[in-house]
Amino acid sequence: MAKITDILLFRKDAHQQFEALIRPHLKKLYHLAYRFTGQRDDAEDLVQELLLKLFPRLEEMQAIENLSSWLSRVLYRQFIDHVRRQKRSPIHYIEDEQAVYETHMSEDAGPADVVNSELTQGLLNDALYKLKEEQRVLILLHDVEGYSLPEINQMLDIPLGTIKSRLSRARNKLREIVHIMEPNARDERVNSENG
Amino acid sequence: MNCTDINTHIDEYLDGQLSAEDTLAFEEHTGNCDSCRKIVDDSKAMLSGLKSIEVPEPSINFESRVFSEVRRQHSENHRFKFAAGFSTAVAASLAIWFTSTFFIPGGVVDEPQVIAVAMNEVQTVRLMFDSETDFKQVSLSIDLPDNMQLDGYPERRVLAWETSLKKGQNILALPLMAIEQGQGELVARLNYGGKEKILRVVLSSTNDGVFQYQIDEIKSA
Repeated sequence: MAKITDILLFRKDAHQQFEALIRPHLKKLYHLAYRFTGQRDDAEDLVQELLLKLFPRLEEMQAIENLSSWLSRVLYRQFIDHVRRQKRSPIHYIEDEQAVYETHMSEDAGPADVVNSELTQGLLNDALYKLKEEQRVLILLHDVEGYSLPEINQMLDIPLGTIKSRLSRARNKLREIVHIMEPNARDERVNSENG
Repeated sequence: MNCTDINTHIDEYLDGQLSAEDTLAFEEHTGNCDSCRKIVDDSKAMLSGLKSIEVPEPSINFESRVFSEVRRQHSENHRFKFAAGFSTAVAASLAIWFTSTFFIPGGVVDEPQVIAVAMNEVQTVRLMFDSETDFKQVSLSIDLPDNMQLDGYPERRVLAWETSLKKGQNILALPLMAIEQGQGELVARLNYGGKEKILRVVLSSTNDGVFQYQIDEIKSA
């Protein structure tokens, strides 16, 4: 009898084990979820949905060496699944970037004022959500959260080269939106230089 | 470097990815080109601004709320359902242990084992059915001792239903709670094609815990 008790007790309360395992990562999960969704309620829902799916995988999670990285990856996939389920396009084309700029800046403000303004945070935040989903996620992970490219490679399962080129395009688009660089400015500058 | 090179390499420069030689060339050009210098300075300010974008705190009780919801939903989801293919290391090790030391082929288990169940606190007792093949229309009944009840079925002493088994390990999770001190016998009966397998387990109202128990191996006729 003692042997049965010994063997079985290590499964004592799977919920307690699950919570002990997840709790240290919960803040980061919410943080990332907010970055992905841009809304507190949506971020909380995303984390809730993820935890409900993860509970049956308790034993699998207990064997994972880098749980934090693994959780970030499954959260991102959950987010992408959620976007698809909602039948929202994962791609948001920029239609009113001028409106974003004008919302935050007075008529006589120049590009330099944009990046130095107290309104920078609001403007940049709005500008981010005018990017394509794939671009926005990269800017948020790399430039906002400070993840390295290899970490992003692990998290999103996207080749490093693709990440670099997408990040570069994303930054260029962001520069255009906040008027650091006008659309097609690169071409004009290059033509001017060559001409 | 010229203006084209600056445009090409600006992100590598901002990320510190340029070689020392290229960094010098980059800075030499931006030092002499107002247009490029402004783009680089504004880009630095943009990246700095991005880092300052804050995340609001989650709502009050977020942590306890999400875990409560997991407890609630997974408690309900597991009630009286079989989870086929529960082949984790834990389940496998228990199956081997019971097979080698407890499994009695061909019928009734005569020496019931004692399992502790908490007083007034729902805990899950898992019964494992290791099936050799898929079975449809299996009759399963659970007789409870007087001092125990199934969560959600407070007045029921006997529950019986038709179910199916899949090849491999099938788990029946019973949310049990001791309502009076003492101990009594839980009897699980499994009927298929005129054959019957019976498990008798003594449930005693003491400590809490989650248990997994293998009833018997079911073989096709």
